[in-house]
Amino acid sequence: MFLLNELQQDSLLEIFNIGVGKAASALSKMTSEEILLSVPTLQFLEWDEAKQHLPGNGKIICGVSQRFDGPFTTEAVLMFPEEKSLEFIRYILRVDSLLEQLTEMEQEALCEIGNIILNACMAPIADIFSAEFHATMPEFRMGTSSHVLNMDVPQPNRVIMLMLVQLQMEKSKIDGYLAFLSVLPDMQRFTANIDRFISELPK
Amino acid sequence: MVSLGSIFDKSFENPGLHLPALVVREAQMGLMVLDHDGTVVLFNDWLAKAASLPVEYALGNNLLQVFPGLKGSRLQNAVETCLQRGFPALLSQSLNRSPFPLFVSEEEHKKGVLMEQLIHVIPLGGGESQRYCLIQITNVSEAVRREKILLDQAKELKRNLITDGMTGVYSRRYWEEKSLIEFRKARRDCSPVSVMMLDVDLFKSFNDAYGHPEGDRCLTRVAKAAASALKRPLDILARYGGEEFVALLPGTNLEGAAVVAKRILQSVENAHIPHVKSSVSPYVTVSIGVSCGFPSEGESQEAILSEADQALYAAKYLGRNRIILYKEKGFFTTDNIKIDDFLRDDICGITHIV
Repeated sequence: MFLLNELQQDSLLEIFNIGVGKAASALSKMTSEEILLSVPTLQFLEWDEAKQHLPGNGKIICGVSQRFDGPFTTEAVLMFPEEKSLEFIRYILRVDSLLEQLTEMEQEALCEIGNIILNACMAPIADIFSAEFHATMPEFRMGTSSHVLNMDVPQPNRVIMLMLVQLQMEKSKIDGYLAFLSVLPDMQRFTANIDRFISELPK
Repeated sequence: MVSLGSIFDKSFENPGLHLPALVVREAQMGLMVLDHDGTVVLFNDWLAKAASLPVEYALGNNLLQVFPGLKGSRLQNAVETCLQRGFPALLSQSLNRSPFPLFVSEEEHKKGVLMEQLIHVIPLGGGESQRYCLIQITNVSEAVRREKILLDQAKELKRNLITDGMTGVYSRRYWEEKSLIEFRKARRDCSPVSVMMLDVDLFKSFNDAYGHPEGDRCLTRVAKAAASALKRPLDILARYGGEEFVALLPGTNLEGAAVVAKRILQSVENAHIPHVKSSVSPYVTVSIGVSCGFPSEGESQEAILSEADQALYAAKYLGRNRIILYKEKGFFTTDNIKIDDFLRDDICGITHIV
């Protein structure tokens, strides 16, 4: 199994952490509540074992996903357990919880919030990699976490980089995840970018 | 500058462009393209009509000149991110009502009713200098209206589940749900729960004398009077069926429940609903059976409810317009006078027959 060296791994986490910080402040602005985002955890996994490391325990998850294509490709997802997604969006929209499913308008609102958070998260990463990412429109997905993370079609013998950030809203007791799942085809280019980031850090 | 106008003119010379240009012009959604400076280079007819702006006015001008109201908005921000980074954005109707001053029709325009919009901001092409930004605007007014109807109906449905349509007090279904929760809580906290059964005295005679519509009004007034006697927010009065009501008093012992029962009896009597056929009083009265138990000591909800029911029958048997308490496997008045065992057998006999 491929692993980054410790310095590279720390640097990669630091790069994502900057993005996560931006995402947290974007989300706090929308909810006027303090959002706690955990420090990202990073795992390199084989395709098959990656499925077992996804959050959600096989439960139904609602997520907003965007694919970012650039120096590396990542499926970026804001995800909540189904019932929490209802609470989350209704908390933000300040409407009563009446229906047991997200309405079309609520799905779109969730997409917009996911879009704001994921864009905010990826923007500093693009800066650090001095590269452009082509991003898809946010898409609402519902199902198991492997479906939400677009892992339905198996890609055996591929290395997966899974980055997870836990998201908690203190007052409203809503928790979810930010997940970044990358299939890494070109590790050399990837590590070269991280090494460049390290070399440019002030000594 | 590429403008739709020029594409459209040229498209007649270039058949490959003619069809896409027609599609853009005729599409039933707003399409606008900005160049990397934010200058409008494409503005389709749908948008021109909805914005009441001639296409020529928009073309060649900056987005903020055409729509000054967008300054500092989330849309402006999304457009900048799109042009600088190539990230797309979605602006939902729920979070951004009507970013563009667009109207579905002339009539709505006159009334000042804005179109509900769903907006996609899409990067076109790569590289910062040659990137364009496509703004796609969909009219979702109809979907918003449909959803509002759906939510209103859901609200109404929920209200009907919780409350009894006729009397306005809680429904039996809600009572059952709520009492399950309260009994569970009482078991955990080792606290008592009191249950009360209420019945309108000689209601059949009332209906015979005054007719069913008046009977319905009578039940509503009784329910209102009884509910007003419950002071704590956790106490629940529900219609159990017909002229029978049930009350749940969490965290209340038998003595406390007796005080509430007296208040209910008084409140109903004070409503002064005439009842000429009543042998008890010139006004409508109620009989009440009260029981209390500790779910933590294994007393089930069904058992406590059944004891309250037996006490209610005792109250009826003993002359109505009164309260009977069930305790220590016997019946008691609120003055703590025990109903003797001989009478008790009679009452139980009656309840069994009924």
